[in-house]
Amino acid sequence: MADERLGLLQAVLLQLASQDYDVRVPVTDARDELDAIGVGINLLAEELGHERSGRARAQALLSDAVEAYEGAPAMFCSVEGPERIIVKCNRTMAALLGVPGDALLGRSLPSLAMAPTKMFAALEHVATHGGQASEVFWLHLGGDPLPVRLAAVRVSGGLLGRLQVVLRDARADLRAEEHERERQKMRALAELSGGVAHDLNNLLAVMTMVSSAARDVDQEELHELLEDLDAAVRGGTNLAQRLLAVSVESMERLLVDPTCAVRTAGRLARRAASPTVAVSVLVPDSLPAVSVDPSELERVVLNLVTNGLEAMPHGGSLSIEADLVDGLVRVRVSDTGVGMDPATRVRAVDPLFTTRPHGNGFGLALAFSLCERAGGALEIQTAEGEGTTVELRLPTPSRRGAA
Amino acid sequence: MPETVELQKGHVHRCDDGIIEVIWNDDVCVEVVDIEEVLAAEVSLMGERATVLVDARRVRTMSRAAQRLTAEHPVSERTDAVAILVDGPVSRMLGNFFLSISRPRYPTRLFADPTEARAWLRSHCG
Repeated sequence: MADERLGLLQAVLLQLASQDYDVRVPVTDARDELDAIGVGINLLAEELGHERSGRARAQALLSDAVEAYEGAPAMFCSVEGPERIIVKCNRTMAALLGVPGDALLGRSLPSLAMAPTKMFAALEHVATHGGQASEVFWLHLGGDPLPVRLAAVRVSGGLLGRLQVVLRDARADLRAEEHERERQKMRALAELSGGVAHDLNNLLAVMTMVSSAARDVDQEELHELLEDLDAAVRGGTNLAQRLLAVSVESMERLLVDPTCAVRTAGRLARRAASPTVAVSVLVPDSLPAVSVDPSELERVVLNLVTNGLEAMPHGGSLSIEADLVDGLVRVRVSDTGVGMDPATRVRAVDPLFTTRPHGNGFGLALAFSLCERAGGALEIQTAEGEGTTVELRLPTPSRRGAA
Repeated sequence: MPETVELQKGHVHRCDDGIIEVIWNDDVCVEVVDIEEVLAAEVSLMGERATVLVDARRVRTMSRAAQRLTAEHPVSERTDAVAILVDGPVSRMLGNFFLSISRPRYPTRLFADPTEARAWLRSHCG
């Protein structure tokens, strides 16, 4: 009997050794030493099973935490020492900076910034006082500089101990800020131009009436003067119409298929382009209607075409395309011309800003205004010496309703 | 105030000297629910603080979770000491496991003799 019970204990121990912690020793009524060992083995098996499930839970949590760290939408890194050397960084950081993760290790974080001293000071300040640095820093590793916002927590050591740093991609923030600035400028200009255009129109109406009445006087010299006056009136009227076009209240909105405006611009572009410019037009048969003033849309696309042609004095290619992407009608005019330098790009949609001797500075401002009023957006991609693409994104009514 | 609380697998009694006695019935397997009953009974019988004598001599086995609850329940903060009566290899094994694995926060000792156990508990009163 004792041999049998010993054999059972041995079998249970072997199962425990193979990590089967659910096994138990049956306890008899004898309550002798073998039962005591059996009770001990059972309690030990419970401990081991509990520890194993606890370890599995901890590993799952750790794995979740690692994935959350690596794939977080923000950039995380740990820095230490007086140079604030990166000792660990997440996958997001490497991806956004366009380098392998280990290429960042061992480098000083502030040295990656275009203003290292300022970034170093900001890092220490937020690590000591908490919060987020108010400035935007530009990280630069050879590719496009990346604007980031910075927060940090001191996790170990003294003043020069380890910091956990959070860097957030600030491109969307900057775009939104720029967008808001442009919108405010356009609002101010719209108010101004509306008022000016109204007064100017009244004045021109009077001038036209006077001109018409004076034409009846049969004096050759007077007639010539009046011709000049007519020309001035026409110029003024044209200016007033352009000013009015920027004013929100003046617009006539219709639901129109944008392909007509784009095709018209394409035809004119082919006629106007020099032989050294290749013009391509890619427009589907039809597109969903967008809510704009049709003549304004045509004028805007023509302006973009004119800008593109003038940007290629030595030839190149101009493409005009329209399509539907994610419920937005997209009209793109691309050229391979001189492109814009950063300063020009910043002011490109400012009304009255122009780099051309005979430009009036309304082309891109009108385009921006049209997109804004249609609930869309204007995007300019440009590089000096490489060309420019201007993209109008105009929501269809269903998309606007959904938004 | 009742002096004795009857439970499914035993009873809890408040002695004249203030010691709370927990007496398990013959051949019981103690689980978490049983410990919850015991601890509730202890709370109803004890004053501000208490010393506890547990008669585990006839216990057949006690689960790990029951041992942990015994050691970690908030009532342990009001327990000055616990003496556990054991008299055979099984109850001694259970007692030793409780002491070494669950590590109760209050002074705990195993005794074979009830008189010695009571004397030790009295030395821990207050």
